[in-house]
Amino acid sequence: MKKNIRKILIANRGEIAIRVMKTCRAMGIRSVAVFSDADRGSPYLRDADETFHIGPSTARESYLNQEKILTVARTSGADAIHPGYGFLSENPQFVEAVEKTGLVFIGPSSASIRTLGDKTSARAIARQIGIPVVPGSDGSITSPGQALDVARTIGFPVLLKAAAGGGGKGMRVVREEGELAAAFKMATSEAASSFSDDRVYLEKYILNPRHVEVQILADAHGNVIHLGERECSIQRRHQKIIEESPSPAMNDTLRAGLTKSAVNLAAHVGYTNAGTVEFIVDESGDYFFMEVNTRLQVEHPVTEMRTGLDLVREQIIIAGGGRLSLKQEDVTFDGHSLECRIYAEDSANNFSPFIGTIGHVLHPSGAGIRLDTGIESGSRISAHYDPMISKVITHGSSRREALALMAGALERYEIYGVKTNLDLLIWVINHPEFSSGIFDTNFLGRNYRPEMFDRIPAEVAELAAHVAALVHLRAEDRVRLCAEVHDASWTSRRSDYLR
Amino acid sequence: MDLPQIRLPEVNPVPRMFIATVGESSYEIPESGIREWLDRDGMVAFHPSLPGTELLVVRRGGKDGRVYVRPLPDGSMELWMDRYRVVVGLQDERHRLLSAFIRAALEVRADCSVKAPMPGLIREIAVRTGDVVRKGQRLVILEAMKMENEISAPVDGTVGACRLTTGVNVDKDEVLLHIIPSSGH
Repeated sequence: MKKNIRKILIANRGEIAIRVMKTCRAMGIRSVAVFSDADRGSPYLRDADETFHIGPSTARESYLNQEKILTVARTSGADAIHPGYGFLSENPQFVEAVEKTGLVFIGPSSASIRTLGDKTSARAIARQIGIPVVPGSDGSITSPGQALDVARTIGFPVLLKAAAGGGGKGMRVVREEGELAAAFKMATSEAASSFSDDRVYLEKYILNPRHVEVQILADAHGNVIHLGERECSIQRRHQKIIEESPSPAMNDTLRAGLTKSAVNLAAHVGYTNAGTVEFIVDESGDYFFMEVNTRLQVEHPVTEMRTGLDLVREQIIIAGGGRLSLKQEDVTFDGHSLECRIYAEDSANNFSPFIGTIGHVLHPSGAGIRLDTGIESGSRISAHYDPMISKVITHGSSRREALALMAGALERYEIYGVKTNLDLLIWVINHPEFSSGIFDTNFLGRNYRPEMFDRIPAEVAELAAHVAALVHLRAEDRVRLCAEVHDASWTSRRSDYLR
Repeated sequence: MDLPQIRLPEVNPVPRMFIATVGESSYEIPESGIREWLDRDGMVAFHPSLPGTELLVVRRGGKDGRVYVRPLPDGSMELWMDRYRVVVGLQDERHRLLSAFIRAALEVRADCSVKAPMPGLIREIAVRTGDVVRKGQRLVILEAMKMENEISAPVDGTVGACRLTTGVNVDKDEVLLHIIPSSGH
C-alpha cells in the first residue's frame, strides 16, 4: 500500500535530526522537531518547519516519552515518524503504538524489531539458515549456575551481553570462573536499568576480533540489497569511534560470504527498511553473526559517500510503500570513506564524558570532507545525552587519500571549552598499525596509554601564561577606560553647571 | 600662618610583576615582558566571543593559532589552544603575598570526602548516614558511560551526613559523601 508522506516528525535531537531534515527538504517534505528543556535553542530546531517542547531534560521524560511524542505527531499533523538512532528507534512497543495510530514508522515493523532486536532470537534464526554464530548459550541465562555450566562447555573467556541490549550496555568480559557470578549480577542489573529487561546471554569471547557490518536495504516488495560493509573495529568501551568502508580486512570471498548472509537473513524474516547486520571476523578470517541493528546507524555516512545514495531518502521511500530506487547490480562503490566520531570526553581519564559549554568551534570543511553535527559555539554538552559533538567523514579515491584528508580535517578542527577525543583520533589515524589496515577491536587496549594525552608541552604553558597576563591587562584597561569615560562625562557636566 | 609641608611618597617605581602558574611550573612575567613578547612574536588579534570570554589569535613559532580564554569560578583562567586545555593561575606580586598569608593562616583539615570519579547518574546508594563501613566496601553505584561503576569506601570509618539521592546526575569531583575515619589509624 502506497502512502503519501508529506510531514515527518523526527523523534530525536542533534546531528541526526539535522541529517534527517536535510533529506526532508530535498524531498519537499515538511519536518517537525521535538525538544527537551536542555535542547531549547539548539541548532537542529532551526532546521525544522515546526518545533514542539516535549518536557524535562531527562530522556525518560522527553525523548523516551512515547505518549508525548505521539501527541505531538497528532497535533502537528505529521504522517510519519523518523526515530533516528538511539532513544525509541529500536523499541518495539513504541513502533507498535505508531503502527496502531495509523502513522508511518520510518524503519522496520515492530514484528521485525521484536524478532531481530532480541539477540537470542536473532542468533537462533541466523543459525537456522546456516549463518555461523559465535558459540554460546541457547537463549538467555537465568542464574549464575547456568552461566557457569555454559561457560565451562564453551571455555573461558566468555562475554555476557544484555539480550535487549546495544551500545556496550550490560556487557561484561569474564576471563575466569571466579569473576562470573559478580559479572552476571552486574550485567543483569545494567540490562534491567538500561533496557527494562534483565535477560542476559553468554557467548564465547573471541580474542582480537574485527567488527565488520553490512548495510542492507529492503522494501515491502521483496527486494533486498546490500550496500557493502563497514569496518568498525576501532572502539573504546565497546563503542565505535572510527568506521570505514571498504574494510581493509576484506577479500572478495569473505565479502561475498558476509553480504550474502546479511541479505539472506533480511529476506528470511521479511525485513523492510534500512538495517545493519553485524559480524565479527576472527584472526583466521572466519566470520560469525553477531546482531542486527534495526535502524539507521551513526556511521551510515561512510556508506553514502561510497555509494552516492541518500539512505534516509531510501528509508522514507520504503516506509511509504515504494520500491527501492535501485537493484543490487546498480549499486556502485567508489573509493574509500572514513568516519571519525568526535566526543566531548577526556582521553586521559577513562574516556569519561566532559560536561561543559563549547566556547568556540570551527568545523573543518572542504572537498572530500563531510561534517555532520548538531552543535555550534555556545552549545552545551550536558550529562543527559550522548556527548558526541560531530562526525567527520572523508572520502578519497584510496584509503591513503581518505586518511590524509581525515588527518588534515582533524588537525584543523578547533573545539574549545570542552575536552575532546580529537588528539586520540589523530593519534590513531597516524598510527602505523592503523594505517597498515591490520588491526582489531583491541587496538586501543594494546596501544593506548592515558598519559599520552595528559601532557602540556612547556612552550604551550609558557605561551598560555603570557596570553593570560595579556587578557588580564586588557580587562584592566577596559575598567580604566570606563572610569575615564565616566570621569570625563562628570567633568563636562560639572563644567556645564559651573558655566 | 604657614602650614606644615606634607611630603607624599613617590609613586611606586617598581615595575608590576605577574606570577602565572601552570600546574607545577610558574612564570614571572613583568608587565613590560608582555609588550616584549607581543613585539617579538607579532600580531595578536581579538575576535568576537561569548560574553565574559576572549577569543584571540596569537602567533607562535611562525604560525597563527587561536586561543580561547574564560575565567574559572576560583579566579584562575582556562585557556584552550590547539588541543590543549591549560589552567593558568594569575596573580601579581601583591596578591601572591596576600594569598600566601591566608593559606598559612588556615589549617587545612584532612578530608575524607568521597568524590565522583566521573560525571554520571547515581544508580544506587548502599549506605546511610551513621553506617560503619570497612575500606573497600561498596558505597554508591554510579552509572557513567553506560557502565555501572562501584564507588567504595577509601578508609574504615563512619558515613557522615549523606544528602545524596538515587537518580540524580553528579559532576566529576562532586562530593558524594563523607567518611569520618575511625580512630586507631
